[in-house]
Amino acid sequence: MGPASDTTATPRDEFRRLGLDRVPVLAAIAKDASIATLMRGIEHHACAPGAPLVAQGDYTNRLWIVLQGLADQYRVDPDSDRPRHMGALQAGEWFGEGSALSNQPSLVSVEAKTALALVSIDAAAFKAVYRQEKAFAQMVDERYRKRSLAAHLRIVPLFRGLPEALLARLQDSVQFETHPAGKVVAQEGQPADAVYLVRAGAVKCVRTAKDGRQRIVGFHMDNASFGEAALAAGEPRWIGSYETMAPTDLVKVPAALLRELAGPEDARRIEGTARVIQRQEEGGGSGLLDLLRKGAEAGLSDDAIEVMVAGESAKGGHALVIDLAKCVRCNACVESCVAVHADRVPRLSKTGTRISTQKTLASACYHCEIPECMMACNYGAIRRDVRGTIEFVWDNCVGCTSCVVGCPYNVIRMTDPPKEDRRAESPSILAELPLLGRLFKPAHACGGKSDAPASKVHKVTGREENVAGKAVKCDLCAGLPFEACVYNCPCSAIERVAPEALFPD
Amino acid sequence: MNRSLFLSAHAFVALALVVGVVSWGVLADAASEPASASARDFVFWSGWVALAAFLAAYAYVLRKRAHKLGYSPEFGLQVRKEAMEAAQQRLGALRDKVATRQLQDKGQILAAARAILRETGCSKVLVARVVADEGGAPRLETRRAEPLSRMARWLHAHLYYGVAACALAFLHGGGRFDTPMSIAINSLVLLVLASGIVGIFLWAWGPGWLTREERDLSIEEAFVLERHYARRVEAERAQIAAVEPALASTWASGSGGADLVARLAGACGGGAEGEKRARDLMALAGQGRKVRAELARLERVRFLINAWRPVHIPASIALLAAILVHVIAIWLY
Repeated sequence: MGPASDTTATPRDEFRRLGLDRVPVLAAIAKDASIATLMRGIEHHACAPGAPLVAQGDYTNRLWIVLQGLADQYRVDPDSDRPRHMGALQAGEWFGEGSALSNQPSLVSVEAKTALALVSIDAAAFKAVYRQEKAFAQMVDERYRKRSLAAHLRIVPLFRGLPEALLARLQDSVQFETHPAGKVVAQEGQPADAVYLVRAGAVKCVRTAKDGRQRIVGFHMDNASFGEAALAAGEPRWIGSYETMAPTDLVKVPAALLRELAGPEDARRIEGTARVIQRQEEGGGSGLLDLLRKGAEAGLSDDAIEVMVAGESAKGGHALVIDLAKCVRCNACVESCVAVHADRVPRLSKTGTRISTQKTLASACYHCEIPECMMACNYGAIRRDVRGTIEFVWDNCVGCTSCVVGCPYNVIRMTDPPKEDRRAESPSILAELPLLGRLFKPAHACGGKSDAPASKVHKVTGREENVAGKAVKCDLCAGLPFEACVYNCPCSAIERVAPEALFPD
Repeated sequence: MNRSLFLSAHAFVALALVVGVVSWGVLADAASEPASASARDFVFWSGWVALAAFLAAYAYVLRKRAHKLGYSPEFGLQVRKEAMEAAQQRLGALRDKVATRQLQDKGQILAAARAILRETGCSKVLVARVVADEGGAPRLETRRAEPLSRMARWLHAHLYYGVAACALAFLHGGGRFDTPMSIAINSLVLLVLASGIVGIFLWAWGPGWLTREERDLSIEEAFVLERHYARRVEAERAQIAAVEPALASTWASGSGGADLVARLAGACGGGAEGEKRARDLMALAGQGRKVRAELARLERVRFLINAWRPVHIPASIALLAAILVHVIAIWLY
């Protein structure tokens, strides 16, 4: 029998018992509610020396805190093929906050140098605590300024190659800004006075054409920068309106500050680079504008271009395309999608967007780079896996439909509240066969069902949520050795292709 | 046109089978041994080869049904998402090593990737391969294992082994129609073959035809829209029926005369407001009928593309039954 205190222990008692109150950043958390949120999202890990913890470019979705031992950080810069040592992390230090806050891929790889004891905090719990606890948020921000900002600045073309001393001065002087979704940070045609770095969230650049029509010409996220035009000579103006697409954290580098800190030689270099970037942006040198032009030249309709480019399916991982010259409309794709999901709800609809006379983009999740569903979810029910695939956390979904509203492509559907898998209730007699029987057991975790024991208390909110239903969408047949729709098409009519391939050369 | 239906290695295997059996038949005729023995051997073995080809063709249907019902053996290979994620994470670290040239030997990269997949339990779900990028440097890629191969390949097998099986069955029986069994099997073979050939050409050219017919509205969109209008018309019909039941069905069927708008306006309360609502209702019913007609037109094209199936499928089932009876009868007697 366990100690009596176990049954009455509060989250704070547990927090102390695990020694987390001795970790400076966690000790800054004051409110009991925040501790409770934290403890619901915490996991313990032990790693052997040399074990990889996070790979550069992976989506981690967790904040990691070292409790014991040492970890090394490495980074491979775009212009180099050798990993650069970015310093060691000691007990009490943390990493992964950038990915957890912004859902962006990790900037560095982290590897255990010695035997390590760590805790990791789920992104949803971390974000909740970050919003509730000022002291905690301040420590995370300051840490970002001291350590990650340098790495961040180095990957921005404008600052790449600048002397370390200048970068260090910039690090101490830049301003942090937080904006809600839908805020116009800079207005087209107004004087440009700063360069911005996107620390978390996403910003879109909208330009007004001569006919008055507005079109998205760029997305800025994933540690990108915008506003280099501000550093050009003369009286620079914003080339488009920059609007946040989600709660967004920006790093503002005022142009005047940059000129003041840089010596004459560096200032000239910065101005030169800024001019090149500005020319590229204005002349359509960015990939997005190239695609827009190619699409128009190929005779694609405006709607198709909007979905593929501005609507960012072109920026998603892979688009699901139906070749109408091959599709006999037998519905095998939808039926096979139903077959692999325990809740028997298809994740695929063939009523997509016709992008040419012979091709249709099927309505299935694009796994967007800027997942508006994930940004809209307040329950930590949508996350990225390490490769960036958007997936729903079944247990966390309360059926609030925010993601359904947030998704621009109508690919998310609601199902009834959880019910048992019908096939699990009446398994095939073939499942009873010796040796071969296990091969005939129905799929167990491909959406629509959780393996975790049901808990009434929501992991993030800590409340008993009234679950009205569950949101479902394409999960790429997670865990299965095939993607059902592509695998089961008898005519090879449905394929996953890189969206760029849809634009003719 | 869907050319991919005709491009398959199975075609060569099937052709080789038929050519092999025909050659054997010709050689057996020319052999010095007693004619009756060689003919018996030919009939015996050509029958088994034909049966094997038929079973290979029928396997397509089995595979299709098993998958649709969710009992395909591949479902048993499923791994947990966490395992897949762990594998992807470790493969990501391996890719970093490849990108930073710490690991360049293709064999070593592949061995390391396979070890990761094995250790995480994902070796039956993901397959690793090393390809050279534009600069010739190795790059690690993973894809789904697809253990039983794609359905499209099974359709190829169905097509070509089916055609080969029909040809072999005909050879096996000597093309005779002299006993009840030979009449039944040979007739069914011809029926299945003919309907199948028609089917394959309809499947190759039909989608392009249907796509051209679809114009602004795809068949799936027409279906969704038709349901939408049907629901709205039904809701409005119920409201009108509450006031004037006869008018409701007249309006919904679009069979009313010139005074229909005036009658509807009256049922909707009269006056300018009633007239406006009546015109909206007429527009709604008209749009609903238009979409229904469009859907019916597209459904007709889809039906024609699949018109061979009501012949092919029952005939195939009957042929399978006849073959089984024939095999059992030969075996027993």
